[in-house]
Amino acid sequence: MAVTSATSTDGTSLTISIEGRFDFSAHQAFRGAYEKVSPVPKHISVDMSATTYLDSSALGMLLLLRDHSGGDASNIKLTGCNEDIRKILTISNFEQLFEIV
Amino acid sequence: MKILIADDNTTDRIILSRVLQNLGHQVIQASDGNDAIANFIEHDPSLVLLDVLMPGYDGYEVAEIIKEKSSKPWFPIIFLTSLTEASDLAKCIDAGGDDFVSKPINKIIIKAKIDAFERIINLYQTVAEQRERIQFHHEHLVQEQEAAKRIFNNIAHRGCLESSNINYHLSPMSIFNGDLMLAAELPMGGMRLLLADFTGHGLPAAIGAMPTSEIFYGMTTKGFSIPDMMVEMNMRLYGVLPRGVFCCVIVIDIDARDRTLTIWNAGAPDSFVLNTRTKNIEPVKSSHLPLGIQAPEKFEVFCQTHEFTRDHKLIAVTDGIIEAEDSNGKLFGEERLIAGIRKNLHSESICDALMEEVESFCGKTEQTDDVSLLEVVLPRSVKEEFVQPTATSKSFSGTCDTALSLRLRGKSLGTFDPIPMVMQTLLTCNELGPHRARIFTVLSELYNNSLDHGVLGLESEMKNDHEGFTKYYQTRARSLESIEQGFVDVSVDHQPTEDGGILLFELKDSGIGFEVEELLKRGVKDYSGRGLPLLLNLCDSIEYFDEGSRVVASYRWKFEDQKDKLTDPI
Amino acid sequence: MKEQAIDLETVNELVEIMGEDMSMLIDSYIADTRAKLAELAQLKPDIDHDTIFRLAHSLKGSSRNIGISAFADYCEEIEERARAQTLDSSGFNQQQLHALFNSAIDKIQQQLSLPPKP
Repeated sequence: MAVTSATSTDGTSLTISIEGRFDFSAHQAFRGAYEKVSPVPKHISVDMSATTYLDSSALGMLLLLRDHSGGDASNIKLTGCNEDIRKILTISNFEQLFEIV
Repeated sequence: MKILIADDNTTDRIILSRVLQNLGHQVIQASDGNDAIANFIEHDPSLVLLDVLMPGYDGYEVAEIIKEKSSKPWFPIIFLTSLTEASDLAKCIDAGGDDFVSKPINKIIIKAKIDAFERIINLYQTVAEQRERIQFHHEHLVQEQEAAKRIFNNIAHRGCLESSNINYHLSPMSIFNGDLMLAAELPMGGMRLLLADFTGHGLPAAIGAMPTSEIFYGMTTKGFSIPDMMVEMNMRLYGVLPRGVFCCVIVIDIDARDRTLTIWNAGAPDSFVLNTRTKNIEPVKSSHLPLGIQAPEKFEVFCQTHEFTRDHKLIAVTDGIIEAEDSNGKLFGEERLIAGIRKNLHSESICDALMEEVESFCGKTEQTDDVSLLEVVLPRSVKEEFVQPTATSKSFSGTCDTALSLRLRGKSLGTFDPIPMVMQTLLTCNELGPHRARIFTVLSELYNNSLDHGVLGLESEMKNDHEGFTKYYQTRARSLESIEQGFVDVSVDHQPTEDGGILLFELKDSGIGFEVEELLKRGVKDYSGRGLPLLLNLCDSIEYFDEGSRVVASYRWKFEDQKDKLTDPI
Repeated sequence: MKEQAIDLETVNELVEIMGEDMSMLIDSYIADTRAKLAELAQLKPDIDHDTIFRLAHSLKGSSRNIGISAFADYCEEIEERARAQTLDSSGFNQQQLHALFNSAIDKIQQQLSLPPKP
């Protein structure tokens, strides 16, 4: 499990990438990736092209990210989701809250 | 440190004592083995210096005895010896000594060794203290968890899960795994069930169980609809649960009279409506965000309604069964679940059959701790459970002499169900207790007829076949959503009589009415189950006015009516 | 046999350790040693080698601690022979023992009445 992040030079976009299992062990690293970025970037995307697995604590972490980035006013993309991850997101109806690309 | 010196040679003993005292230690002297043992027991020193050659017990024997007698987990023994053979020195360690010092004692060496042992003693003490503290906290935690478990089990009790129409599997630790299964009878007959899966484990996961079960039991027994109940539940959980914690839930209403199943799946894996005759397995997919995520203003509930006869069964699961692993980490998965259901379709208990499949797949039973599984069929009969009022009391209580009326206009028709509130008001008259189900049925029937047929203009013939069923309820839901005009007046007049009371229900709707005579003639053969025949059966009188848009029904009750003498309204 | 009756360095160190109680220590040592010597006087070299070994060992130890070297050396010899059971009347000369002891005591008491070396 590895969490990396990259911000654009003008600070308006943030990409957080998760490699391996996205579960509770990613908690601290995931939070660290966005918490201190100030001001909150307008465009945030979570790159899951290397993510193998997603569980309910990961869903919770995504909700926290959304909350931090302005809740309903936020604009977060989830990219590179494989079939299993997509399925989990669909069952939870997360396409109502995030843009799934 | 408190140090014991045992040496039969007075001179040696005096000198060594003084050296140690000069270093700041407290010294206890013993002149032979027995003396050493007695002094050890009395003073409980931190460190012992033992001369090897002593009369009586020699140093080795003393070492063995005091190590055994000591209440400490460990303390250092340093042998004082003028023996120089390596074998003799090794024997010191073998005998339970921790070190040896050669005589004549070099005060620099003895100081260094004692200091070193002092560090080790401090280390031991720190470890022992920490272990004690951890032990204490751990026991405390276990006690708290036990108490919490008992509380939760009492509050989030299983309701009527033991009814004969339900098979289920739920681990004893379920609440602490975040799984909750509840069942309660609906006041007009039938049953409501709830299967919930809170994120997380332990106490945070179990916390959600309390408000959820409170709301479930409170609102179900009062006859609130699923949407009303879920709005309340979501609002409470949205406020109570921390961000990032949510609840995947399946709620099911089984209407035994109408033979319908109403279901709402928010974030849980597919549930399945099975037809054991046609072998059809229809999945009910999650169609909403789990509870606790959506703000109350945005929260909307759209249920699905299915036909549910004696041939039907419902299977509902949480993701525990999907994610059950075998020893290689492979998941049981949804396909295996569906295959298992199909294979065991005609089993007496599909639940038991599926649990066997999971256990043989996983190879060990601890996996089934997280598995929650529900199997439901139509209930066989409608029972009424309530407190029997004392037969001899002929006094009137509560709303025994009351008139109440209510007009719901336009949008309110779509957002508010008045029945629970009216029922609650009426039932403050305790004597009506035995009649609760029948009164509820009469009131619901009259109201639904006024709303569905009167205001919305729906034809009950639509419900005559399988597709029509779904279409009817879909149309009804859509119409209610967009309703702007129309009204329904609900009036109830409750008057006491000498031997009981009489309830007069009057409902008026804004509709165009219907052919009363026609419907009455057709009534008995009506497939849709409910309707006029039922009302005729339950009420003492029923009359239609204004071309069918106004109805007055009367229901008479007597003090002497016992619950078991009241016939089942089905 | 060594020349030194007493080992000055040891004695001085002991004075540092014991301070005012040095004379108490010496008195104690003298009493203890005299008692052991008296015991030794009763023993036969060929039969009582175990006891002789024990006593000689003890005397050696305490004497070394005090810094009475020549006496201690002789005790060591006796000790070794007793252990090897090769002791005979020539290797266990009571008078010699006493003589060494007494002269050592004299020297110590003399030494102790001198002011301590800087």
